[in-house]
Amino acid sequence: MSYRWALPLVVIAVLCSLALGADAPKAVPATKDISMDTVAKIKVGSSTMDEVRELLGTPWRIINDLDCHPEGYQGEAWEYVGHDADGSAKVTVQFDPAGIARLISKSQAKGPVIILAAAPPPSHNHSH
Amino acid sequence: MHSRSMPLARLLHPKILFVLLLLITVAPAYVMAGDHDGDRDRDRDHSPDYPPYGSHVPTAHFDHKVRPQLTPPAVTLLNDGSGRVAQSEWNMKLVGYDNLDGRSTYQPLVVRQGNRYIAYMAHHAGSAINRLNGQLENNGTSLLDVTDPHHPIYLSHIPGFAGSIDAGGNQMAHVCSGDVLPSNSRAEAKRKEGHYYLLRSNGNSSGLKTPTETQQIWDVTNPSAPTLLTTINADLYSNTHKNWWECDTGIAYLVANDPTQNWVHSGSTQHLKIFNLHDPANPEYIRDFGMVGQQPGSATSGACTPPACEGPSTVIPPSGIHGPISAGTEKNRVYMAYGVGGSGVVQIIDRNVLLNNCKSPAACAVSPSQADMLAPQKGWFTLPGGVLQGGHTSMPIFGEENGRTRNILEVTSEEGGNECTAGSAPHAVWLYDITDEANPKQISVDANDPANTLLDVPNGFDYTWTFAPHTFAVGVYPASLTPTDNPANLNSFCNEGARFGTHAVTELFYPPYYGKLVIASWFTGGVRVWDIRNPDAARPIAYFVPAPNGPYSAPYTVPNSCDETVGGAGGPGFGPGCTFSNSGRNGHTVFNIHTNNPEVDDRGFIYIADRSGTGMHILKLTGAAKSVVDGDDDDHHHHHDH
Repeated sequence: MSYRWALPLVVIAVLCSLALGADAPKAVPATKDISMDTVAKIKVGSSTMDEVRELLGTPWRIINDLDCHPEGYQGEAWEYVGHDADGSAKVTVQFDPAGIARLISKSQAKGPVIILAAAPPPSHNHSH
Repeated sequence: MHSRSMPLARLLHPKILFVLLLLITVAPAYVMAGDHDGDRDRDRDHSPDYPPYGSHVPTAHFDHKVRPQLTPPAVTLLNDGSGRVAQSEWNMKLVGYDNLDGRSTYQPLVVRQGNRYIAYMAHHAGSAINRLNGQLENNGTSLLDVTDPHHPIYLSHIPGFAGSIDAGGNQMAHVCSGDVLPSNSRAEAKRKEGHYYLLRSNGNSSGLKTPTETQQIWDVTNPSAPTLLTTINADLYSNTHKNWWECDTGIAYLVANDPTQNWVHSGSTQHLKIFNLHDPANPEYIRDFGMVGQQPGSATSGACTPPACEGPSTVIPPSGIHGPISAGTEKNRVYMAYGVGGSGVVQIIDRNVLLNNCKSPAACAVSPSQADMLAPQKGWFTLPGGVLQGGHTSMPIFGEENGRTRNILEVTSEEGGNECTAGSAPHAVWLYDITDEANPKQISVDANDPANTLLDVPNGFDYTWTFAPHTFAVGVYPASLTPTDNPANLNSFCNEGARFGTHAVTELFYPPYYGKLVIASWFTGGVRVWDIRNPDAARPIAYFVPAPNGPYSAPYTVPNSCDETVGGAGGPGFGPGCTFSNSGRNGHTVFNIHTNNPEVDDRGFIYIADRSGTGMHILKLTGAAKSVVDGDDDDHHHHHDH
């Protein structure tokens, strides 16, 4: 007895399985790996968001919770993944409300946050 | 023998083999796709009957028992100024966790939807990678199934708008069941049957008339695939924040502003726009309201003269509202906190008058007179510290003591500066006796505390407050606290890069905790809990300070960190953790815990959200704190609090 009639159905079932499975969570694409040499080109106190984006690309994360900061780094902070001779590192660029880079830091698997460059705003007006 | 071999022979029949093959092939894919009928849960609604879901307010039973004041155990902080090494806990325990993809989070809300518990985590502005689709998305609202609090399941992310903290993000969420919301017709009731609705405020207070600062309503019946239902007056309203939605009446108190209507405020440019959202698809406007002196035509500068400007700490025009809490129809009161973190005033409002005294003339709704504004007001008070403290949250506790009515109000300010900004006040929690609404009186006073309250947190438990000469009634931080200028005091919450002080208390009228515990978020201090059964002598009873999941948390104390894969699909995977590093004075930058808001669910689990991207922690009470709830500690005092 031949069961060739069932073959197309099996193929359809397998294809359906693959199609439904495609709705399962997808792998997250690799985050861009920036170099510290490029980070060094950012000028704290003058580089704008557009300039930073041109140098480093789109940050993997943006945080904007700094609504009342005592030192005035109260704009956005952009995070990137990079590497140097010490290994991989998370690089953070903090902007002031005008969108000027004010502080660049890096953090690695061990050790404290390292400030790479900082240029505090000229004046500070703290209010709630 | 024959009878046993026959079934096997039948199973080997080609047609049966084909059906089995089909099942084996399709079933796993169906499961992988997930979220089918279970997401559209039409089980009987299980919403609690207390606010904000219902109007039945529990009765707290206060006493005057003398209980020992407990000293919380010290939190271990690294002494090199770089962050904590591990989580710290006292009478609380971590149950579950999710990193929320590293998004900065403002508010947790956990709702029982049918037979599931769904967490709505409202995010600050920013962006991160959605683990479900690998896309970079503007922060909005994360929805998780927390039915099993040990293993939260990330269901979906509703993206928000791009922009600054005042223009982007989501921040505040409320959810009502369509089976609880009232209906004007059978057709409306039928249309809402089995549905759940999310009211969320996007943005905050940029003051801009932009399409990003909006009040949206989403149908979240299927929390894996929310759908936008409507945006309330999308082109008109800005300046959103901490709404309140009464599910059993539909009344929604929206924090908002319409720049074209000329209301006046100091600080956050916000007052209330009150709607009936019984039919979420068709919002019904009721009126605008705020502090007297904010209505159109009021003075925008000048001396403070009662009643338009009452008390020495208020300003002209009065500070914007931060958020109301309604006790619903049964108690007929709404409590409104103004000022956020400065120039604070708390107002006690007659709900019926508020909702009904502006029905005519029509102009009253959008442009009330001074008399219209004062009509619902039953009482008000300013906060210790004058202009230094603001009204952030005002949570009422209705109760009795020795058979006589005794009502209490929990009030918080909001710390706004990182690392205990010099000259700012330590922001704390205060208790007020509001039994006589016209004459509120602060209780649980601690004259030795710079915020004048027993509901405060010592600065790192190893530091004595320094009182600076000032003109205010309570203390302020001295000029020297950072590692740069005070190396002897490194092991301090004031050197954690972020804010140290209170923000908010839980707002669910959950009976087992109601009138027994105050649960407050304290930014770098984590979540703090006080026993207020004797409200005149509040005492600390528990805390939990999460570990940053940055470099200093290794080995990680919680699963699902940003360095690990999530559900086999990969998390953001950027290396050294989710926790964001904040900067204090002199650029001092550390990975910090920044516990933003706490909330409970109707099972008693406590949820906290982290402003610095660490995620959501699900906690439970243990030890002496659990005994407070269970009421089994008064007969034999425990000595195992640590």
